[in-house]
Amino acid sequence: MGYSGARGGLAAILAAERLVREERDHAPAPWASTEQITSRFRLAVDRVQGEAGLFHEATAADAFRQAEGDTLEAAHLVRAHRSTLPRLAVSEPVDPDEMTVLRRIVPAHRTPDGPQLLGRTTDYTGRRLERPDAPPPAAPAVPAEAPLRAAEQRHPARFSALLRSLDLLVEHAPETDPEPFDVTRRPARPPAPRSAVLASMARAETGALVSLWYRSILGPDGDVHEVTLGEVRHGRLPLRVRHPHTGNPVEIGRFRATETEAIEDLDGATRTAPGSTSGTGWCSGTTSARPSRWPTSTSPAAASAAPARWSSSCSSRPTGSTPPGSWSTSSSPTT
Amino acid sequence: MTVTTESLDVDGLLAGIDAAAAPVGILDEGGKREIRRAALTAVCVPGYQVPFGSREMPVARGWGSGGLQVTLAVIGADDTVKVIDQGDDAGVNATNLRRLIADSTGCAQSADSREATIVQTRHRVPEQPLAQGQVLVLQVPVPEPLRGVQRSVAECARMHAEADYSTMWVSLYEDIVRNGVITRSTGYPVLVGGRYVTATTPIPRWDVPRLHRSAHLNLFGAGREKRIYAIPPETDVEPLTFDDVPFEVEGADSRCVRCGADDTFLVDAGHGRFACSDTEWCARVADADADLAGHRAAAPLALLPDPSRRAAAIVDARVPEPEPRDLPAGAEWTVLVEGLGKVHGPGGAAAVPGTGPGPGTAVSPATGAIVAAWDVGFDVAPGEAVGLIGESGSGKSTVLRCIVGDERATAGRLFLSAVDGGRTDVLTLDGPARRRLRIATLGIVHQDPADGLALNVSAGGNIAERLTAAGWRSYGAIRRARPSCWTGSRCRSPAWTTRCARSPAACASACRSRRRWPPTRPCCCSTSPPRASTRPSPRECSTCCAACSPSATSPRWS
Repeated sequence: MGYSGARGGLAAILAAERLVREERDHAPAPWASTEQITSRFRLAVDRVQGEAGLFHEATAADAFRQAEGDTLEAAHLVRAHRSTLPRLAVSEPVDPDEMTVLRRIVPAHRTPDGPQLLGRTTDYTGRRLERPDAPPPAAPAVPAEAPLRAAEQRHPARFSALLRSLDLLVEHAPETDPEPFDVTRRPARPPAPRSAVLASMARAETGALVSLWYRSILGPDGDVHEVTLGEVRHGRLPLRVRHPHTGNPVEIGRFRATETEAIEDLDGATRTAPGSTSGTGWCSGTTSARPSRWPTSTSPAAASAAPARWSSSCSSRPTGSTPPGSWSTSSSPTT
Repeated sequence: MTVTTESLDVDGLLAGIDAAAAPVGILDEGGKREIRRAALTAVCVPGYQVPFGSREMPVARGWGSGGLQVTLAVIGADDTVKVIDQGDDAGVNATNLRRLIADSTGCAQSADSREATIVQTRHRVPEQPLAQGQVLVLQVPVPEPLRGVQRSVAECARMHAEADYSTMWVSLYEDIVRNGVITRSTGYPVLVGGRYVTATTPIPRWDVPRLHRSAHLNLFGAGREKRIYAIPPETDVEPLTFDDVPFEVEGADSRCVRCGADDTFLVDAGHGRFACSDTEWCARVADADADLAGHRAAAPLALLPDPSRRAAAIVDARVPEPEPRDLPAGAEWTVLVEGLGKVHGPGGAAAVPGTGPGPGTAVSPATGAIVAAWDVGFDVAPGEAVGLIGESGSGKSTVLRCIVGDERATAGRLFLSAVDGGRTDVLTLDGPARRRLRIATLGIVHQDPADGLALNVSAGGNIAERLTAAGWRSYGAIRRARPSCWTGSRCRSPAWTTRCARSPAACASACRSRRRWPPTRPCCCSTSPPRASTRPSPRECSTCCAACSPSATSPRWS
């Protein structure tokens, strides 16, 4: 049975459109403004931005409202919208070590170098359903004072650096993939370069990534293979483009990103010495649940080269930038 | 949600539900009852993984949701709970779970293992020896110990049901061959109550001996995988290891930087130093509030690593090998086949009329079934070699496959003198009994030898699988068994060790023949000859069946 085509012509299409608009635009409830969505449904907006690969909250919120809360449809709307936009600039590579951390957890070590910053997360709280029948009381006029953090606390050394100093990390030769592959402009063909895989995963649907992760650790075609989460960090990074006249990199803003480092024990017959390899996971966004809540989803195919200086092209517009988002993955370690 | 049950009709029940009231606990009473039933079953069958309908918890799956459900099902308001994460009471997840449990049940909290009635833990057993009446609830990520050696869940269930753990033993054997030691560090497999191989969650090896005949009850909850299992008090817990390869615990060869203890499980504390993993015990040792002598007596210090006792030293040690089994004396035959038939498709015996052994006559005109073999009968005397000769497709291999049990015969009877003195029809035995025959009594060499080999383990592992299945538990004996089983002269060369460590896939095809991978002391070996050997028939269609004398230490072949 093939698709034979629903018949009815223009009248049917218009009727369907009217049915959609009636229930969506004229629901018997107050209109949800863009501002309401961006500030009340922050994670939904963030998810749409990440999966669409376009970081502009108002655009994502409008799409979220138009899609009636279906994030998959909203991401698709934003992607289609992005097709209408010209590319004005390409950002400079970002050094993830420049990140000013707001969250930083090292689950693999009890006393790592630098702080454990729990940050804003529901990971370690009892997530019981609350049924408030009225808005919560007004926030205190004076917010609780945040503890002062030293500069080095905001830029802690990496856990992988500790492993490296103990000579526990097997180094891989960096892949020669200097210019990132732009999956939005060129077709990726197998064997796709690493950056193409990363960029595709950066825009992937969150549920699909979780499924991929779970299948890779417990799937019927593989052994149990749970990668240890070494470190999660979330913070701000600068976004720079080259000035069109001077040619110098200019910081045009900062964006939030979440990064994970996963540690993988290397064993097997080909191992020459005890050691581990590490892989990085990367996700742009204001508050990305993806790497932080399902940590190992960042490396479904084991780990990769040492945390590569990650870079990606991204188009920039004054109102928002497209994503540097990238999740690293790679082939299985071979040494 | 509170329900008053004064009225038992539906309207009365609905009216009694106070929809606005907040739920009192995290689990409803029905859910708790189910978990308690699963836990009781688990206690009655130590080490057996009991499935249960794991509920969603207000923590992420994989963050202790299984342990949390077990704790909530067995805890009461008069209990005292302690929660540790890798030995640490102050871990954020432990703190969160402890707060959830105490808030929702009204029980007391404590960090003191002596006060706690229920200790929920991730990846550690407290250093403080627990007493009778205390319950240790362990959070389990992967409850299936066979998962690493068997991907099929159904096959794992069969292996547990038949206590068929030879592939597990092979994985240990391979580990020793490759690395000189068993490298499995956490979640070490154990045999519980002499029956079930069980995963010890990711607790370190250090903690494994402390589960053996423990005074307390151990309950294991795997929320993501929906399994509960238990190690009741005073139950035997034996780490899987060969008789001549001692089980070892981790040895840091160091002291805790905080309390100075050298008889606890230590973790890295940075800058080359170590500290107690169990923060409660460490603090109590520092405060002189600990029974040091009692702890030291319970610590597995006798199992610290000792290179002089490792596999390299014991391969040449003399260990008595199991006695060869004898066949009944004076038997006229070792194998008797009567009226054997195999029909693929509908109809059974009704499909046979109109078919025959000749070319193009296999398909039944009545039912369309394929009659692969019908009414085959022969016997094999002790020491006799019998050849089944026929055209390609005439059913020779089918007959052999029915005899060894790879296929179920449609009709006929099969007697082996080694089974019940030849009085029992082997074809009526159930699957587990047929598989036991394959381990110790029957063997087959396939036309493509790879069909009979596990290509994911080494050549030596293929031999070890049969030997461990037959009950061999001496690593040295298994290693020595190989050269004597080996019939090819070049395999007796000094290079045999190297070759044994290779995968059979890497060997030449002649080397892959079961001729060189014999089963354990078989009384009957069937073979489809390797392509290069001489054949009794000019056509490429011969099948041989050989029986060997019971006294032979290695099988003779046709």
